[in-house]
Formats: sequence, C-alpha cells, structure tokens
Amino acid sequence: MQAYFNFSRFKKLVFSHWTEYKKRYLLFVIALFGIMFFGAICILLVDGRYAASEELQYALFHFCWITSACIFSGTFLSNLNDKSKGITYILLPTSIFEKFLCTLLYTIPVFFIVFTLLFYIIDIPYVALSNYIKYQDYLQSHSNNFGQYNNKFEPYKVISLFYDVQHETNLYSITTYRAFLQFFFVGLSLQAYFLMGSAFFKKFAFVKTILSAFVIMLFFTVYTFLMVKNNHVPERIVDNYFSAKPFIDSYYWICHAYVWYFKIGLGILFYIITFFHMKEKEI
Amino acid sequence: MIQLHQVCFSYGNKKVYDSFTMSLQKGSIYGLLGKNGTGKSTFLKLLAGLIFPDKGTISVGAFSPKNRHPDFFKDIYLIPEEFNLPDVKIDALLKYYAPFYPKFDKMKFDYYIKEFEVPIQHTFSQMSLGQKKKAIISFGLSCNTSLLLMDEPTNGLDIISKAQFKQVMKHTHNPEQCIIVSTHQAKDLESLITRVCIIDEQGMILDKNVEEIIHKLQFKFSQDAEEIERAAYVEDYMNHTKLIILPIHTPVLDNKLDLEMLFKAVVTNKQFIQQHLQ
Repeated sequence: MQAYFNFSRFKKLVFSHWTEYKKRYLLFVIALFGIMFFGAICILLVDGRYAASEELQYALFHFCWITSACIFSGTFLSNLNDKSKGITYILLPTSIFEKFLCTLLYTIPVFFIVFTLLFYIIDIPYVALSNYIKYQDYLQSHSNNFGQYNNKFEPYKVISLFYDVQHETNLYSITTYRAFLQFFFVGLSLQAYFLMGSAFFKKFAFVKTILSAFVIMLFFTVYTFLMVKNNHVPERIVDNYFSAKPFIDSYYWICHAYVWYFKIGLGILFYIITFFHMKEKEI
Repeated sequence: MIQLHQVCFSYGNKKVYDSFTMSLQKGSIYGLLGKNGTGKSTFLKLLAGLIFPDKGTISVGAFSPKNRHPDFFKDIYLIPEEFNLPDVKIDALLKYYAPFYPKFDKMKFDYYIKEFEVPIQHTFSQMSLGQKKKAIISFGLSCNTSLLLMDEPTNGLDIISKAQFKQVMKHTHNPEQCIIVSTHQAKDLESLITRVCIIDEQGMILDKNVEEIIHKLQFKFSQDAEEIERAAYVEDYMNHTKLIILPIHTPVLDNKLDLEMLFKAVVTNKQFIQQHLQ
C-alpha cells in the first residue's frame, strides 16, 4: 500500500506542485477573471435589463466553467511531453498514483472552487448592476402611465448552484437539477478528455485534443444518424413526436446518448487511460 | 549493487543495446565514455527507470527501475543534460524538494553552494545556465542517494566552474554510493573517476578500474622510435608524440591516466587494448 499511497508523501507533492506552479496558476486565475469581467460588462452594455436572468447566469456559469476547465486541464500534463520537465516530474520520489491524485486534486476540486468563487465575485455586482438598469427602465416605462403601476418590479436573484436549483418543473430548462448534473458530468468528462490529450500529444496538445474530439464526435454523430435513419435504435429512445424525421430524432438521440455516456463514466474511462499512460510513459 | 542482465533496447528500428550484461558496484565513480549516439544517456535513463528495456532485466539494489517505486526514487538522483528547475529561490527548493530525499544533508548543500558561488538570493530563472547547473549538482550531491547519475555535468560550465566541479567531486567519496558520470569531456573526469566504462555500437567495450589501467598501460610523451613502433596508440601533439605503450617494468611511476587518449585507443585499436587489459 505504501508503494501506492502515503499521505505524508502526497502532502509534500501537493505543496511542491504549488511551489512550482503557483505563478502560472495565479496568472491563469487573473486572466480568467479579466475575461469573465469584461464579458460581463459587454453583456450589460448590450442589454443590461435582461443580463442577469437566471437562465443566462446558469448558462454563463456552465459555459465559462467547462471552457476554462478544459483549457486548464488541457495543459496540465504537458510536462510529460517535455524532456527536461518530464524527467524531473517522473523522478520525483512519489508514486504515479500520488502524482495522478495530485493532478485530479488541482484540476477538479481546486479548480471548481476557485472558479465558483471567481464567478460569484463577478456575478454579485453583475446582478446588482443589471437590476439597477432594469429598475431604471421600469421607472421610465411606468412614468408614462401617470403613476399607474400595473406590475410589481421583480429584481433578478444571484443564482445559487447548490440550493436554489429548481426541481423538474421543465425538463428542458437549464435551471433544473437535471440540467446542472448533466452539465457537471459533461464538464468533468470533457476535462478528463483534455487532460488525456495533454498527456498524449507531444506538440500542439491543446489544438490536437480539440481536433481529435471533433473527429470522434463527427464519427459518433454520423454513426448515430445512420443508426436512427435505419431504425436500429431501441424504440423507447426514439421520441414519438419526431419518429418521422430521422435528423431530428438523431439530434435528440445523440444528445441523450452523449449525456448518458458522460454520466456512466466516459470521464472515468479517460482518467483511467491517462493514469496508465502516465505509468508507462517513457522519456 | 546494479545488475543489467541481457538487456536489449532499441529506439524504433535503431538497436542501442543487444543482450547487454553488466554489473556496477557501490563505492565507485564510473566515467562513462562513448561516441555520440552509442547509448550513454540511454544507459542512465534505463537505470533511472525513465525508459524500459525491450528485453532483459535491470535491478538497482532491491528494486527494478521500471516499477518506479517511490522508495527507489528516494535513493537515486539523476542530473540530466537538459534539466528543469522550478522558478523559486534556493531556500524554497530546499523547503519543498529536499524532504523527498531522507538522506539529504543541508550542511553539505550549503558547502557546495558556497564552493560553487551560486547566488542564493536569486530565483532560478534569474540565474545563468552554469549557475543553475551548479545548483542542481549541489542538490544532487547533497541528496546522498545510493545511486547518483550525471549526464554531461560539465556542459555549460566555464573554466573556473569546471575546476570548482572537480574540487567538489573530490570531496564526495562515499563508500555507500555509486556515481556514474557520462560525458564527452573526458579531461574533466580524469582525476575524479575510479572506473572507466567505454560504450560503442556493440555495447560496453571497456570496463576497468583506473588503477588497473595505469598499471597495465603507460601514457607518455616519447620520440623513441622503438617505443613508437610497439605503441598501442600513437598521436601527434604539438610537435610531440603521445603514446600508450605496454610498460616493460611495472608499476610505472608518474603514470597518469589520459582518458581522451585511452578512449581514442580503445575505439581505434579495441582488440589490442582489450587483450592487454584482460
């Protein structure tokens, strides 16, 4: 067991990793903050009245989290493909399992917590500003009605990712638990895929990972489309409303299939492949 | 301490080692010499577990390097030709990396850093290549690992630093440690190593103690026609003739190993040298 995991060794690894990469990570956080901050300002400038709807806040959270997490993970193991850094990394006296756990620690919980904090740091004033703009608009539109306020002003709320997510009121709404979990699993799996790409591809790892993902998805999509077109999909999956339209059937089926695969552990499969690649990596 | 048994290794179609067998003992400083592409760095990487043999077994102490056991890594340090140091100051390196090596000696490290004149107030990104190299050599030597591998340690060092390196290495003798230094700069190793290993395309063509070599071969300048006639190796050197001859009377006084000459002699007149060193 000591050969695979030792807490004191793991702790040393986590701290030494932080010592080595803290500047890089802090720069990443600052860059991410800057992009999200200016993105928020752009949305407010375009139309501040609707900028903080709950749907948009959820959509922004998921989009920004998945994108930034993929970028972060997509460079995390690039050391393995650099001769000098790879030698130092492999020869550090810890087990490959500990190195892998350290990778997971930084790319999943640490990244998620830091991202969520950043999101709220921007989201709270963003919602307040949007409410201010909405309220000014409300006052202006009602001032023409000689003080007759027909409807009450309803400010937007800052979304809560962990408490206020709605129950299954609307299956296709982004604000449901179902949607949150689906985005979460999709995000984790994509992160795992980008992490795997960073370990596998020697040069231009990030671009090659994106291209390979597109190739795989294209193959999968065409395959699914042909399956649906030729009625090879189990009946219960095909929605009756769209059974006459193979393309639309395929679209829904593909969405369901992707989410299902991500949920059952496509991400775990990518992580396992990454672990064994790290274990067998020769430099 | 180190055993390689019938090791085969190739990079794609290019065979580097074919059924290579060798053993290395602790308490020695091995000088590993060879032409470009003969597998010196590969040899070090195989011992460190960075690459795996296609066939055969390697054991370092109780470990097989390819298992990459953390306890194995604790007791081995490789100073690669191209190395990477985190962009931190030396005290951060000590604080976060030295604890991985249980036999790390802080006093030794301070001595080496002082001897090498490495600026401790700078981060590694602010240091020159030579300064960084001296820092990593100091760190590697202070780890006191049972196996210390150095790949071209004097590359990037200036003349003064090379002298400092020799000075520092002279103080590192540890009967429990095996040091393997791979280099093209044979002159830098002459006074340091206790055993010479020469590799060529066929594998290890020479593996002898320095004492044994200087006992059996004489390195000298000479204009004597008879000596030149029976020399194992002859080289013109600034209007003089450098020779390697078989001494008539042994032991030979004031006989100093000339690694560069020995290397050239082994490469050009392999059978003769091997036969007489048997």
